[in-house]
Amino acid sequence: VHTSGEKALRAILHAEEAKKIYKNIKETFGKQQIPLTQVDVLSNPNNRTSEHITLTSKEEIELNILKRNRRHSLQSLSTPFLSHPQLRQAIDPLSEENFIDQLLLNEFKNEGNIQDSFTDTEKQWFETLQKGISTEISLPHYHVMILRISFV
Amino acid sequence: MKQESTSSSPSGRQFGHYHSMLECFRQNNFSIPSLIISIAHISLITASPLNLWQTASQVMLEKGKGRFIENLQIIQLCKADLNFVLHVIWGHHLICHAKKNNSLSTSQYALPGETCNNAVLKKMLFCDLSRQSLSPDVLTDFDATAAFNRVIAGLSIITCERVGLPRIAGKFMFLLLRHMKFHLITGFGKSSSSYRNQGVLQGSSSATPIFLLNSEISLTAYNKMGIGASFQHPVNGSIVTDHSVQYVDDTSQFLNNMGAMNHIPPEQEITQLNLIQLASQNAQTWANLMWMSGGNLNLGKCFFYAFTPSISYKSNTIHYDKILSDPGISITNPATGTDVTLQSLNPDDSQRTLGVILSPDGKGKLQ
Repeated sequence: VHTSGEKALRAILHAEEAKKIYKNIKETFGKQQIPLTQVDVLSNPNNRTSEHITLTSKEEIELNILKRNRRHSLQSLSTPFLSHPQLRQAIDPLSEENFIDQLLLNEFKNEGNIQDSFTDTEKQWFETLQKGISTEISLPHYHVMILRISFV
Repeated sequence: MKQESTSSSPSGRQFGHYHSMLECFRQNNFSIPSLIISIAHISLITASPLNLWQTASQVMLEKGKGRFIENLQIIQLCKADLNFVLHVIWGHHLICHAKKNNSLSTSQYALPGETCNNAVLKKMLFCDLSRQSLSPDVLTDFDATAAFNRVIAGLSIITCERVGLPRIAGKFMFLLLRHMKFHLITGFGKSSSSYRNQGVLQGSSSATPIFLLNSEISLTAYNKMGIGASFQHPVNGSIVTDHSVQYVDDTSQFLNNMGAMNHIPPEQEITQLNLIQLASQNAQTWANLMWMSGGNLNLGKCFFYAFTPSISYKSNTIHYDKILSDPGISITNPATGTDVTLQSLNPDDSQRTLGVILSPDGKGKLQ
């Protein structure tokens, strides 16, 4: 962040103005932060049209929400990169047999020849994945940058 | 340092503690902040996320649709110092580096210096130009399902490295996401049990940049493969073509007769039916590209407008031909293999898009 005093002041004023606007909106609509102490769930989880029942105990609410959030977060498991073992390994940075460099150079070819079965759309997607910028951001620079931000 | 039982942070430290540390700077005492920055720096350059950083809290909020479990919104809270590191590297340095090197599509609007209003204005411009050119058009709006939760951690490292993230920082992020444990916060307090999940820590400073760089691949590929909308500059005659506009997980695609011209045999007249067929191809391409990067469309929430404006010289007003409801835009859902037809709207039907109620006829009739 290479910023001048003038720019920094402008950013602060802008942030203050935005804060004021949000405060006014909040005051207009009133406080609506009601802690979650009740949750409705399906009486039969396998039937989407079944009746809703209300859970009120801490344990039941936590169990159901954690289950729901976990289910919600695993939706991508059936997509190509997580369902094909070869593609999964290809993008795993911890695997010594990953293909990250090849993917970034659009030279991905594995032993299973999975790339031969790609559709035109998939081929275009892989082509686009190749590295766009040759320079990297500097991490030591980040160290200096944080100190600069903090000093401002 | 005192820990607080009501703190949202897993460590029990409030954000106010960090403000107090910044006060040390003002008093020329750099010892504590420098120590924290050094720890964060070592953690990053050795790809060893601190144990303290590997827990996050999930706060469940009602979205105004009742308290049914599937309608709750998840907000994830991570440690303030971790969020600061994520903001500096992913939220600022990486995105600015990608933007400076023209590595981001012009259809992308969730960028520093841009706002969602710019994305809305681009859509409005498309509708205005279609009225001026009186051309048949199709505007398709897509909604991504569980967008942030579906980002694949391993793939996101590659999409970030593609625009200049050092691999060691990518590995740091991968390990952080892989080992992150989520606790739940409800009105009863913090849950004792936790779980691990996919996703990119929605709510953190790095979530939007990572999602953006991930979807950038699909967006750029779409702009190469899809058929867009073209308009001719009235003065210099140059042709300007645009395909889409995206703001985080909200994507719209444009199509008009001039854009479709090269994709329909010259002897054939371009009709609204042809355009809808091409828009179907576009929509299927987009669904497949999103599927490649781990995402999927919420097809129940996607919709399209197909409209042909014409002038009524009698009343001096623009009116729209009745749209064809059949055949509509149909997409095969890559997850289930089933065909889904998108909702077709009339040009005067307003839809809320990026916080603005917008309709192609420019009148914005409220629903």
